[in-house]
Amino acid sequence: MTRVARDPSRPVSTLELVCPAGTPAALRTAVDAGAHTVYCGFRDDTNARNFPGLNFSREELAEGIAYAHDHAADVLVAINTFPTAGNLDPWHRAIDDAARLGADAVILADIGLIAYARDNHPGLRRHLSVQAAASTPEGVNFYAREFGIARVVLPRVLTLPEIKELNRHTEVETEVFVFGGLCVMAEGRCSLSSYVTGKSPNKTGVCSPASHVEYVEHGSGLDSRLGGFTINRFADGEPAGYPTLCKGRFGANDKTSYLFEEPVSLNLLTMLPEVADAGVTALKIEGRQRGKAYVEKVVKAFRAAVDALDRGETLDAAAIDDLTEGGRETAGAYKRTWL
Amino acid sequence: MTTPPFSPILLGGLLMRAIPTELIQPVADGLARRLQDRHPGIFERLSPLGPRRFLVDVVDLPWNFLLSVAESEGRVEVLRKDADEAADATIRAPLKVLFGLLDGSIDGDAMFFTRDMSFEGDTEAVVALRNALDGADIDLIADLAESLGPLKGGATRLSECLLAAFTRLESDFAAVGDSLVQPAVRRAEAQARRIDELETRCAQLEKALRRARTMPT
Ligand code: SF4
Repeated sequence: MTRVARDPSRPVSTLELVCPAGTPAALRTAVDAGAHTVYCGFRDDTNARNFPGLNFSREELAEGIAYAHDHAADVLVAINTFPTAGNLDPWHRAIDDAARLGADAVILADIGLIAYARDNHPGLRRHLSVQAAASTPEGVNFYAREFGIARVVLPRVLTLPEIKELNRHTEVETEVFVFGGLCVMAEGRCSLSSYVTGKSPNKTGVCSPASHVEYVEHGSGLDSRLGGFTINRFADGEPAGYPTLCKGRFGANDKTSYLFEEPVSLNLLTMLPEVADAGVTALKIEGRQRGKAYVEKVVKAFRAAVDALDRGETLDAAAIDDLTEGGRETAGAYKRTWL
Repeated sequence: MTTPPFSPILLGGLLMRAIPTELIQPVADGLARRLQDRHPGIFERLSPLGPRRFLVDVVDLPWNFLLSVAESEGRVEVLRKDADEAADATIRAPLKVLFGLLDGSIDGDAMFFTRDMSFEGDTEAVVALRNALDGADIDLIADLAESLGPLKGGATRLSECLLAAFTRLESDFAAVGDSLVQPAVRRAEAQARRIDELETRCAQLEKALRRARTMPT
């Protein structure tokens, strides 16, 4: 595998763009659209986007890494679910194979797996997954001291001032979500999906799994259901959404409303200067379950924004409005308005 | 419910009603074979689900397509709209959206969020199919042309001409459609404004009534 060095004439971007790939085709699309780094996972319970028809076989990952490296991009492998006691093999094999195939880093959540990677593949860069929910300098520094974590993906519940403060007290690189679906709880700690379907992102790698989802058309619109429960009801013509449990519309106190969170998408495109100012190293785009068209459009828009930022220019958010869930977007907790 | 857009395909679809499904079936067979040869990954990604049948309702064409997948193999059957065939999932969308989904130029989630397509039945199977198709780099024109065998060269040129003509026609249809529906849209907007006014007035009256009732006598 020949690794192409990043073009030395290109200014080192202030921010590294980390992009999703659910399939080899999406990986190539992300790289071609300007991703500095792509993250993906194996086709099993070891990654937190274990959706039907998605993810990489070992051969596909080898080809994907070769393609990315030929185009001066990195590949991170997410092995970020929590294994069950007595069934560690698939998770150990995933780490061994990521190292063998030449991944640039693994994204891990379980403390035992991080120790395994440190002991067995000391040369393999280790990133702490958002699933580990490390949100304080003390927590992050503990992982760095004990397990040599090089980067932490921060939970989507921190404000920008909190992220800036955290960065002042740690040497560990920080990566933050800038676009895509929102997980409103501190990740790794939500059991809503497990309660209704028996499957959760923490163990089986999928929240509100499609196997338990039903869409039912009726006279006045569309119902979305999860595990037999109606999660939302959309009038004719109203933008629909996936019945992720925390984004349902429920009746309480004689009122029907989004009790936890509206089905809006995170979009920090116009806030990138503030994100850079908070000392963040990398920007993460959510959406390994989304298609190539989404990947291409969002990656291009963010790459243009990162390049514009490098040149000191202003940014335009209009380019990706139609890809947000329900057509609406939010700055989430980064500008605290709802916690 | 997904309604067909006012487009050249809708009009063409009406004219194509007279074509028997037997004439379309060989093209569908060729396309299925071609997909299997060129993109085996599609069927491999679907195989963990076991045998599945997807009814694809192209809302602006006079036919439905039944895609059956079993053990890494696929078959497409052309059906009349009124044919009664059981399927695990039904997908409804205009032809243009389905083409975009097949070649990955349209984001399936965005289409669904905006209700340009709809489906019912086995959601897991539909999600897997969407992911499997998106993961294959399908070039539909090339694949369709290949499925026509020796007519390939002519078919490619014809499809290029048709595409160019279609793009022109589509914008003409959009303009005609707009001018047809504009009066109705204006009427609906006026009615919506009137309903808003009445609702506000109702709310004010209810509030006044509540206040009057709670006033000490
Ligand atoms: S239910 Fe919502 S908060 Fe909980 S894991 Fe799923 S997306 Fe995250």
